[in-house]
Amino acid sequence: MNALLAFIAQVLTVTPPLLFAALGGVVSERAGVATVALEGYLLGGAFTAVVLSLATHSVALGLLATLAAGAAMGLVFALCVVGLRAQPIVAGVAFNVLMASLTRVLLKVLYDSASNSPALATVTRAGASTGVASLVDAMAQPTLWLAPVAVLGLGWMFRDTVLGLRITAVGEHPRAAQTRGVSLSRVRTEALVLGAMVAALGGAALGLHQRQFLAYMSGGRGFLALAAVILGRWEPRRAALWAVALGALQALEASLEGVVPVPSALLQAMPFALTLLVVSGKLGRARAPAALGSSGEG
Amino acid sequence: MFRHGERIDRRTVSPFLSRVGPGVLLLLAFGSLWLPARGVTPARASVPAGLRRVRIGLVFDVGGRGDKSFNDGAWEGLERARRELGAEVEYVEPGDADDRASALRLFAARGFDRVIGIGYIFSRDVDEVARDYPGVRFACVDYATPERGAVLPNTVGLVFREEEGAYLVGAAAALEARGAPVGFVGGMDIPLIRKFEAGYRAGVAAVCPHCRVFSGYAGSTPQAFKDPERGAALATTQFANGARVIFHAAGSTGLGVFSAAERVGRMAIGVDADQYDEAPRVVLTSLRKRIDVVVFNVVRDAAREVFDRGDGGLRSFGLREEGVDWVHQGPHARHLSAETVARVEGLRDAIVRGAVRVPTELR
Repeated sequence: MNALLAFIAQVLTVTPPLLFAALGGVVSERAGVATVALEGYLLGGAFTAVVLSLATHSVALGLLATLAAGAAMGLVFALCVVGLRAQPIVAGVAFNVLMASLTRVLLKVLYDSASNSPALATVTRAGASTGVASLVDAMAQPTLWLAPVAVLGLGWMFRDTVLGLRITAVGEHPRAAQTRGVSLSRVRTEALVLGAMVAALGGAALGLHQRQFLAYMSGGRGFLALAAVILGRWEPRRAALWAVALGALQALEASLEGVVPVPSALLQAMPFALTLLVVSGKLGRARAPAALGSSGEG
Repeated sequence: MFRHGERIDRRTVSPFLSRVGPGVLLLLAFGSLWLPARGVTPARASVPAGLRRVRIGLVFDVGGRGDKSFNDGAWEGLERARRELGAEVEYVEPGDADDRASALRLFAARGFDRVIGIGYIFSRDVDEVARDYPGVRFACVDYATPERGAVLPNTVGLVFREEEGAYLVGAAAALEARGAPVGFVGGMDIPLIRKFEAGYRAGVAAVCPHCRVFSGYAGSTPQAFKDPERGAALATTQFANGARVIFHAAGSTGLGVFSAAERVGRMAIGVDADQYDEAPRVVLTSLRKRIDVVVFNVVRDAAREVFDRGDGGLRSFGLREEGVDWVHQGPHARHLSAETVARVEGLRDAIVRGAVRVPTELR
């Protein structure tokens, strides 16, 4: 029972970073811009959330600042790929390197260590059983409760709002959208800014649950989220479900490690193996927005 | 042929800018890799009589400064050398794997008196750079000897017998758990970390032959030493399966073990440095590797113009040399019962006397 509760708690803590990053990826990629930059968004979001929460002693302010930082990151990325027409994948890789380094520079300036920030206070929930305590702790994450809001909100946006429909149009058939007087660069910029804000919340989830920012703490989660985007066929709800599935796989692996005698490398490879299978077409088919991967003009 | 993007968009960006944009971004990004991590200490302390002012270059391990563990121990030793020996010290916190050798090379090329690499992961980098700079002397903490050939004559490897300390904290964990299971969380799955586990298990078995020991490793890459989220996940699982005390040998991944212990109100054991201050409510004790002492001694040797290469280029520090220790005195040992301390100190004497030999490999 304890082990089961602890497992559920872990799914709830491992998933949010993947889920928000995947949603952010969906928004940006629906506009036809390949978004490798998710890793950088996660780092920037985690950094901002932790530093501002440390400085203001308020997680709410930390989250607001994360949204602002997300918007800023989205603008920078949009400046490169929309304004300057950089190839999105190349710019995305550069953006990730930039964020990995920038967060280290700022860490050094703020805390005189290029690797670790100070830690936020931890809340002890002793008294209850370990399973209950870890579950309560997982439920106390503010980002956990933002996740369903984001999933439903983005679903509604793509279905029922002008912006959502324009984003899809721009990603599916840029030329048709343009002939209807839709500005490619404007809609793409809007999509990138919104996507980065959502993805940055994933970073906040990571940093706030860890109670600390560490250099490179995103540790590939942005790429795993990208897998959820593809597996979820660029739809918010499906991508979110895949993020939960990948999160559950990771939590399962952590729960088996050291308890069941299975080589840990094998367990750790599970999410990636699954992704490979799906992307290679062995499990279902993925269809990308038509303009994805093109240089943008359609 | 017209490109409709240009026709309809109001702004037309010059082709030059569009080509240069990502290049500039890349350049800035890579350039900044070097910016943050260099540290130079400006103040010059005076040099004691009879010693020489030496220049020391130190390269930190993954985890970096502020890990409250391995690297901060090295930092303490370096700081002490600067204050007490008047040494001029510089350090680099390498970003990724490829920066390690170049950081060592940076110091070697400038003819520093000692170039120190912190961590087993530097072993081959030190070999490579030491071969290119035979006139410079290198020291490497947690050095792993090359598979072929001897240690280079300008290199000394400084190794710890961690298993001896792990044996003591294993016994302490089992005594405090009173028959309940205990746990171990390792960082990267490598022989060095399995040595901790081997000693720990032997220590548990010494006081409680039938006690269960859970064990988990965070991964198989150096990233496994800086992933607290995973440390917390592994620890939560072990606690949920009944572990009372968890010992970690996982760098900053271990900070997640502490936060998991705090969340559920169980105990944890620190590593490398006295980690009580990280989580005063849950840190039972810590296995200390006196990296500070070892680094300080390297600098002091340099200042005395001695180069002690020990036994064929390897110097080993265990309980007897006080290179390895466990926290059992003062306010930081307040969670330990007096009986536990007495019993474990008895085991320490047995190891120092040579009556007990601690295994270094898992069976």
